[in-house]
Amino acid sequence: MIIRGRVLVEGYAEGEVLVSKEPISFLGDIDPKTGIIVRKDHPLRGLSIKDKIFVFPYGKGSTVGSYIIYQLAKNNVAPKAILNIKSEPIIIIGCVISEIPLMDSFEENILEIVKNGDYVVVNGREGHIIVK
Amino acid sequence: MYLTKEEEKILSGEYGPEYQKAMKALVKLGEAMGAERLINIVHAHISGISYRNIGDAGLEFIEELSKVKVKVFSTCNPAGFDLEFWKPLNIPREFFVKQLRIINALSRMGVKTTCTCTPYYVREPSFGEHLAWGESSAVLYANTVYGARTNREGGPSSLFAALIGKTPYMGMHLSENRKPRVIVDAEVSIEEQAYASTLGFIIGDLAKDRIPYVKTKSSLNGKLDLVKAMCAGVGTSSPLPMCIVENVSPEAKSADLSYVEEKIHVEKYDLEKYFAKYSYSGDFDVVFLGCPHLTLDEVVSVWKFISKEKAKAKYPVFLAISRHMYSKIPRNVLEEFMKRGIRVLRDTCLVVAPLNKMRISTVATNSIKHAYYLENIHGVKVRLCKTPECLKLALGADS
Repeated sequence: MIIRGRVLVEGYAEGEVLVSKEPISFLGDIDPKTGIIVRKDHPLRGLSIKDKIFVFPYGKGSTVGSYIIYQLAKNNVAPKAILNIKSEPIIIIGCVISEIPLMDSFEENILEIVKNGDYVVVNGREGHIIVK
Repeated sequence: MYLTKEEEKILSGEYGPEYQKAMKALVKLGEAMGAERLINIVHAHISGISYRNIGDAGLEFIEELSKVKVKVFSTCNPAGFDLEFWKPLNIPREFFVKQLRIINALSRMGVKTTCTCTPYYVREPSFGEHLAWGESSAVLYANTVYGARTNREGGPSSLFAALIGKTPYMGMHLSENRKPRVIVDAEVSIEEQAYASTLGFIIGDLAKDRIPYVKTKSSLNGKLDLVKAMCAGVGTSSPLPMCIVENVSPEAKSADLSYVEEKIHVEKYDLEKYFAKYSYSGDFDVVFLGCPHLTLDEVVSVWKFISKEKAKAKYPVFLAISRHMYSKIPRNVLEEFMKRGIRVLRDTCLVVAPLNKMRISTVATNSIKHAYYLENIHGVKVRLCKTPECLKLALGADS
């Protein structure tokens, strides 16, 4: 299944999906050393976003979040790509400086279509994802 | 995106790799968000300068850029400790050195190292002015209270904007994106900071990314300290850069409500759930007030409160404040605080400090923003309570 979306940071990635139905504040929600979700009341607490296609509705919270994304990349525990319903500047600039492919505004609600463990190809050049 | 000849030169590297890197990133950000061009800013506020939160990666990132100067008035967010009072607080040597490297790098670039989350007290924004600010609570305050225009810049983009003196012309810089899309009717009286910040958190949670038009039971007109606390709450739970607050925001009266798609009611009960969530009880390593950094009025109200209670603090009390505002505190107030075990910390707050090294693991505070980040980043056990209750806890009012 091919779903078209908007490319915010170009690139290509494929891998397993991790879906957070809740918005993410990279500062506070994710440990920059391990990539593990640490927020106390997050349903995915304890899981790692390392090498995942990380899907969540939008970013929230601290503007330091961009540096957390950058640290994840430097520590080799970053997601392979990020897909949002709608991205905001903190996520975008974090992905720009970390060179993580980022897409949003898909023609369908990806939170309802992709499930944890699905294998997804992110074609952040052509502007679509393929859900396998 | 349209670039002027000068901007093209910067992009092509004619002014060196640092400016080129900054311009490249701003252009990418602008193109991603559909900006037509860049726009001049008058003030950049740089977030993400605490070594605790940006680590070696962030330190190196900032140092690499520090060979060149910023182009506009620039301030920065809090650091990991009070730059003049750190030894007694068990700040490790390595942390101290690396934090100072960040501060020095910013200083070389010409950034005023104000180390505060309240840059609007250092330089008050004007209505309609274009800014590029990091720090979610300050972004909200600038748009909401002054009607100035800034997006929620991420730490790196606020630094890039400072270097270029411009930001992509998009989002909050455009009038059409400043319209309320949800009305929040808060049927609860907001009289102090804990309630104000919690109301903000709930507003952000429910409004999501839609700018809220906020009505409160009692007007917030003239109660800007409470609006400041509310903004910090909104910024914690949402991506919102702005609220329109009835009787406060300059854009409230002329607000176009025709895009409103939902009306949300918030009641006292909704707020109390969060007090139940952060309800640690036991001994406290610290009682913390000052998120966002305190105003002189807030400091004086603490002083008035402790003047009524005679005891020395049972738990250490930290009040966080900007260096700028600190200079306005009367000497006798500071002396009285010292006698009573109340520390006034400049340049910092608990969220950006190395708390495990400082042996702080239990905190009472009146800020839901602090509660959220202390629990999740630092694993601290938190009690969220009203301002007078925080002080009563500290001043041993077992009475």
